[in-house]
Amino acid sequence: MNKLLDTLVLNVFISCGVILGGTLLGSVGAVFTGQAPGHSMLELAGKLKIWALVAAMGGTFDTIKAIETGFLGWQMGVIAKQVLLILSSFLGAHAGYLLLLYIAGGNSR
Amino acid sequence: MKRDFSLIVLGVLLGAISMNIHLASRLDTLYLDREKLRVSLYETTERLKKIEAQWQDHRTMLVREVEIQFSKETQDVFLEVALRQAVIKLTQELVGEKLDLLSPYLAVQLLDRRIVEADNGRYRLFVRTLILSEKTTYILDYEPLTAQSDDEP
Repeated sequence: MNKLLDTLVLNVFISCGVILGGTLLGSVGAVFTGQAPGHSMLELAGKLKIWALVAAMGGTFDTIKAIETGFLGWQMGVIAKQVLLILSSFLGAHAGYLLLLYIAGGNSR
Repeated sequence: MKRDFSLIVLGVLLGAISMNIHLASRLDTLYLDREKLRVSLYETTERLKKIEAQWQDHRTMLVREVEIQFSKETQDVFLEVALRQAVIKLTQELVGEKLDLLSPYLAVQLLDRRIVEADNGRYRLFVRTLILSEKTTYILDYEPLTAQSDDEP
């Protein structure tokens, strides 16, 4: 149980970090290429959200395979665990996205 | 040594990020102004070219300017500028046309239900109002076309 909790917390921070790091450094790159940094920040945050989720889960195939195994073997615990992992990753990614949204002063998409 | 160098690079990156966050809104405004001026310059240059070419026919009523307005308020000014630029490219052929020979039906069909690409997206235009005069005005509406993005996993 503790191990699951550790993984969930780790997922939240990894996905949040992917969004924050990717977007903030990406917007620095946007300045060098003559684009609007605030606008790029919002665009990147929106685009990276789904990738942050995938990155935090360490590749989606294991999760999908575990869900498949859980369904076929009627192991609801395995499915619930994977759903929790997905939700924790989403939570971190969305938290990072919202933080950037408030920094850049944009509207939620 | 390597550790110090890494710390310096990290510091530079953090500094660049903080500066970027601090200046983002001002840089955005400058970028937007530049894009607006670019569109305006393009529009004026094209208009001038057409008017110079039609100088001999200046007694007849000609379309001298095409104005684009959007009927709904948008919060994405970047999108509006990009759409305006795309639409102006399509309507520049009208400048210099004789008004009495210009078919209103064709002028509407030029943009109505037309798909344009702007700001990394595709949009369908709808002509809500068209005022044919020396300063021809299009009042447009638009809706985004949804499509599967290439960068989705």
